[in-house]
Amino acid sequence: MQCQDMEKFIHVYLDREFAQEDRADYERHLAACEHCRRLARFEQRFKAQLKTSLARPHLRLDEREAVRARIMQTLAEAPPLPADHATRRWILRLVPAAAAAGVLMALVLGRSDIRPPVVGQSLMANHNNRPAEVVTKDPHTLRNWFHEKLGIAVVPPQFSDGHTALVGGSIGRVEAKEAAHLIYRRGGQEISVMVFSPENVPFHGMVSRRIGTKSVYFSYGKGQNVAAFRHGGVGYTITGALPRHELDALVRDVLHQPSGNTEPTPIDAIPVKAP
Amino acid sequence: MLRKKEARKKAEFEALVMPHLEALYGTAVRMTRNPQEADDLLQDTCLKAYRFIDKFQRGTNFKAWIFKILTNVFINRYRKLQRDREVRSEMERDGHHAHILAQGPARDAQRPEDAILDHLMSEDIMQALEKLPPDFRMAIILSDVEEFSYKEIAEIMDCPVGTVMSRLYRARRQMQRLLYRHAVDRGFILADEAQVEPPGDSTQSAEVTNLATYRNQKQR
Repeated sequence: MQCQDMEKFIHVYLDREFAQEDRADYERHLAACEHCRRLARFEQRFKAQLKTSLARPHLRLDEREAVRARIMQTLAEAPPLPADHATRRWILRLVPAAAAAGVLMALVLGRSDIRPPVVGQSLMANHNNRPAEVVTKDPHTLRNWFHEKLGIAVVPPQFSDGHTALVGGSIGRVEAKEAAHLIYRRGGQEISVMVFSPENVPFHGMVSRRIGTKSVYFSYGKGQNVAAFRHGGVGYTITGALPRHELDALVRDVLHQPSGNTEPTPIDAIPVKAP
Repeated sequence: MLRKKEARKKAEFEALVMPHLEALYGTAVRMTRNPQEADDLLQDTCLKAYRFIDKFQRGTNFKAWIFKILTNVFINRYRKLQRDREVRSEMERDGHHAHILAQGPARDAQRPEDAILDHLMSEDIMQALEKLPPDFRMAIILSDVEEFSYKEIAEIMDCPVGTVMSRLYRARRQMQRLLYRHAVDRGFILADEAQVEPPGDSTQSAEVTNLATYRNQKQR
């Protein structure tokens, strides 16, 4: 075998993946070939350096406990597990065939997606790229439009990153109710903010994390991340194909602003500045 | 009764996961390149693992089983994101196959490869790893940090063993190329030594495919 052929398998040799006989053959070649020995020495050093440099980060006891606590919290908030196999068989014996098909379907669907409906609805809203029902960059115009359509005050959030800009809005849906779907552009992509009444909109089955004083729930799908939270008596989701830390920044901006339920200050109560 | 069953299940799950917490968290940090996203990835992984713990066969390799879930969650969540697409296309433009070693006669007095290793900092290696496409990054972590066998990595990454060999080969070569450029830029290697880098895609033919190839070639 030529050196060029031996080189191809240098990692297999160093990763101890060769059978004993193959390894012995390989080492016979190394014993006789300075070029391959030199290559093997380099690769072995490189491999050792990778292992040292990429070693797992050491978690202090308190950090380890914090990670464990967050995992257990996530599990505690998870929806109850679907019925096990034996229980399903027992149910199927008792119910008529048509109902059995329905139960089975519900169990299958329940097992395939443990996330609450608000996640799927937010992902669909942002994924569809449907044109906005009202196109405007003006938050006040949009606020009035939603007030007229939905009868609620929706304050479109302003984002501090300087490149997530409001482009319009549509009527969306969260659970069985209508919701305000605010549409933003950020570079070439769309960001959706859904504003809705939070009653009977569960966030279970999502990963939760504190941002400031609020619990924010996260999920993903269709190449997008979703953040869901409640603020000032209003429910929000923010959806977009952006990394989690950038999504966090958008959430923080919303949490620092008045929510949709905050009525505007009565005109007469606004202090008038002297000209 | 259901509550007791659920509590017992959580305790059992915790006992299975805790010994691998550092490994999972460390891999999540290396893959997401962000501690906060790593924490979310870890929690998503645990949530999924817990939901499907009934599918785990007691007595088999739990670490490999939960790493497979971590890999799937990561791929589903991040692969479609724009950022990774950009990284991938950048790497593809760059060419995966490169070899930093001198092909000519050994120059014992000043081997460029030794110069690279002598000057490398952990930070340089981490940065080079971060520039790899996710599949390559995962292969390196699973093999060189977590020391999974090729067979286990194939199960975790849901691909043939030959693909694992190929990914590891290409990933390590790509890292070496990035570190080599870094060493030239920093002046650890003299410009004339940079000439020893073979031109073009010379290692395409050197890509490893499977052990049968080795045995066939051996018999030639």
